[in-house]
Amino acid sequence: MISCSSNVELRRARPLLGTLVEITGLGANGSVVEEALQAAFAEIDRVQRVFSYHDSTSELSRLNREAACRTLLVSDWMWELLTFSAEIFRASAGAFDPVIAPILERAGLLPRNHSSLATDSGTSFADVYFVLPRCVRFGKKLRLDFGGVAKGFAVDRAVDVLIESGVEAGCVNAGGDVRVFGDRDWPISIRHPGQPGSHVPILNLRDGAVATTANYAARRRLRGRWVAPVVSPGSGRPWLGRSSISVCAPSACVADALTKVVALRGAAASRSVLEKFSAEAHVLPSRRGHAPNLSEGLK
Amino acid sequence: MRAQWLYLPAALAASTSGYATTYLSVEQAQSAIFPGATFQTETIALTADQRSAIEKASGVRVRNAELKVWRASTGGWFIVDEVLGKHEFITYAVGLDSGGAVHGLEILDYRETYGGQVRNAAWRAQFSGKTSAAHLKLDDDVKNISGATLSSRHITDGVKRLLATYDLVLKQR
Repeated sequence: MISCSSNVELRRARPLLGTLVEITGLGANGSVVEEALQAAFAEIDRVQRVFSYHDSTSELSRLNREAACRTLLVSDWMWELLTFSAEIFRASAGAFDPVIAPILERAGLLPRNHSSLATDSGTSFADVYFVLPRCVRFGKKLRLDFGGVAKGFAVDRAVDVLIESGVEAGCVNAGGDVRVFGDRDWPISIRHPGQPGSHVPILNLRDGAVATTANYAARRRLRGRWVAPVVSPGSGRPWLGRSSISVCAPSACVADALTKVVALRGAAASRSVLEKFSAEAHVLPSRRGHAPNLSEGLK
Repeated sequence: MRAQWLYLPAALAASTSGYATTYLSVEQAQSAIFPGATFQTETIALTADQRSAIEKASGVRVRNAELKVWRASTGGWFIVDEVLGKHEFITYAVGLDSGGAVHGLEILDYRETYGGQVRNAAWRAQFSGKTSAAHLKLDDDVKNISGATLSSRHITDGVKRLLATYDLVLKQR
């Protein structure tokens, strides 16, 4: 099944990013692969320290506290994810927008770390100003959350470390955001959205990433209404669809971000942004026995 | 990138229900967390007083009175613990250094079932003792699942409980 010549395969899992992160590495040398896995987990931990909303000492938390008051110099990773977010924000006409933190706080999906700080209404990512070479300022009082893209970013960084460390083929899976590399196909399953305990083989993936968004785990009632983590940035209304949306893209960061766009806009309306980022979407309906909707107009 | 979407049969009956996978045996986790050390097993059964003290200190319920603990020859403790999520049953190992700080953590086994069996102790018991290295290759079910549901909060709570257990019970030994 494995087409490359590696004779060592190691799989490990650790709790990180609020979920379980599983890393598989294949290579010729056991201790090289072992060390590479260790280094990859450490890298994910570093990503968490930058972008965690829950951690009040993270760089993101500092940005959220201070960037409305002063221009801040940010780290390379923060700059990279902010500029990436701006690109997706523009390409998706605002469907992807990290400025949703206050909405998620009110929905009980994010902790109220900054509850003493008021935010302005009608804010969007267009109110985040980029000042070269690597500084950021918020033009209005707003708060960012990277929950829609940080896992994908962490997966990509972990893959970079595995490759640099000499792993020949591998797979990083952070709570369902998956990226694979190396000269082989990886079979990917997804949960049947109507029966999340069942796994449906959906994809053979080589050198790319897949992310899946669905509501079976996260949707809940709060004070008489439904809340869910994917929300429309404009209206604040949650996406309550029962289908499962998977997006394949060359990087996990892109796949992760675009699942939100496809959830909110639908696969057909997302076609041009998917194409722009060399991504594909697949929507799996929740009704048992229903033939799959092979993403209108796409693969 | 090459993505080959698979044709899904109209019935979508596809799928297996339930999933179990093993990452490491206890011995492998011991040498991953404390390389080169030897281990001395200790039998520790928590008294009712110890259990409530740990619960009070950590804010986490103590489900098992029996600890699976080893002393590492290089100093420190190796503990195997288990946590239950809504549909998941996870065993994991934590290494504490001689100061009681977390030195390493590895997941040993992950098991998932949506039938409610997770809450059934007899169901869980069928898995104990199945973590020797010899079993790993045979029983291993490997899946790459996109779209997971798991929050790692239970594991984080488990570690909190173990740190309190160190403070109140292991440190004194």
